[in-house]
Amino acid sequence: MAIEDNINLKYSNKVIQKIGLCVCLYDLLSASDGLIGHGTGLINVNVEFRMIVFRPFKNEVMFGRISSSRPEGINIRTKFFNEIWVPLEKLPAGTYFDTTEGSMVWEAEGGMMYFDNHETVRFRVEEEEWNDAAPVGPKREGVEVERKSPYKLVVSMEEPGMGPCLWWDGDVGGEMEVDG
Amino acid sequence: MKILEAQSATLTNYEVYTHLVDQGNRYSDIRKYAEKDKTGKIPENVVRRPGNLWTLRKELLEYFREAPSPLACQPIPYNDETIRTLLKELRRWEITKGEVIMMLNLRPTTLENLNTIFQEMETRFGEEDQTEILDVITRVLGTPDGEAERQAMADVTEVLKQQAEDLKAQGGQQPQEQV
Repeated sequence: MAIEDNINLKYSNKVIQKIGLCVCLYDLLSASDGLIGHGTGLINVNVEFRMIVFRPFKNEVMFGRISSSRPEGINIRTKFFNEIWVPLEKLPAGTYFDTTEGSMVWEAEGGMMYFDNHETVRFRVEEEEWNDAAPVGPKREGVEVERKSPYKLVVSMEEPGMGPCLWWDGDVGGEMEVDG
Repeated sequence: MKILEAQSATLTNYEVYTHLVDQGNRYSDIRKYAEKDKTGKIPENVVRRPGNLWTLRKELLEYFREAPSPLACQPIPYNDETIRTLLKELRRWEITKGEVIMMLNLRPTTLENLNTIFQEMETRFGEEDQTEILDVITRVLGTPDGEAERQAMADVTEVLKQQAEDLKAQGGQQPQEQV
């Protein structure tokens, strides 16, 4: 129990470079005997364990919600992970930023389709971006250090079936009721 | 710290969900049966779990329980046998592991949605195969109540929009996304 807590305390909700966002301990594979640390008197145990990690694979399709839009693209978040970015070129062709609405618009044949804030969307994972968040040393005057998120997903919503779920799931309502 | 093996296995949302729920039950058992110390209180370190774990756990469970995730349905349509049955039924076709994982996570019910999961679906499967795969999915994983699901989705969207509006009305700025 103590081992589990310490592992979770150290890794839970944190990003390891090239590994992903750690969720929690999955299981312990092995643990050594407790060794008493020199000078501290604390007990150290070497452990081998498996961890549940959030790292969607390339081309995985996921759900999320739009959190905000800018002329360059759309930010998406899930409840637990905020760094999801859709650049403009990965939206359907003919999409542009509507400055009055503050959201992206897709000019489809059927009319204007809005990527509204907070809408549930389906998207495909394209790339991942890693930024080592190791400390960069003392702040120097005049040099702005840009804060980057350690793990960011670049995703697309250009294929049919992608984007707000309500666009695609609405048409089949009648059919599904018959089946049910 | 040394990473021995990265991504030794991929889990579906359902597997992570069950792990988190089991973990929660285990923790509440500990709380229930924890021994009291002399002052009649349960020692803090026995009851409390790391806060960062708690935050992520809560957020993840919320994510899983939000429509249109299949885990949002009550009762949960999956059980321990579901994954095995699905794999058995799908053995007839060449489907990658990743695609099966997405099936379990998204539970597609229409050809359009199936198309998002499979790469080059038209060249790989004939039309009959496509409908048969859909049949397998609906049979093994069940069908969502489409209407209720969309309603739930729209409701949450409304609530979130309202919250954002309220925040604005209070004079507070809308949270800015860091990119």
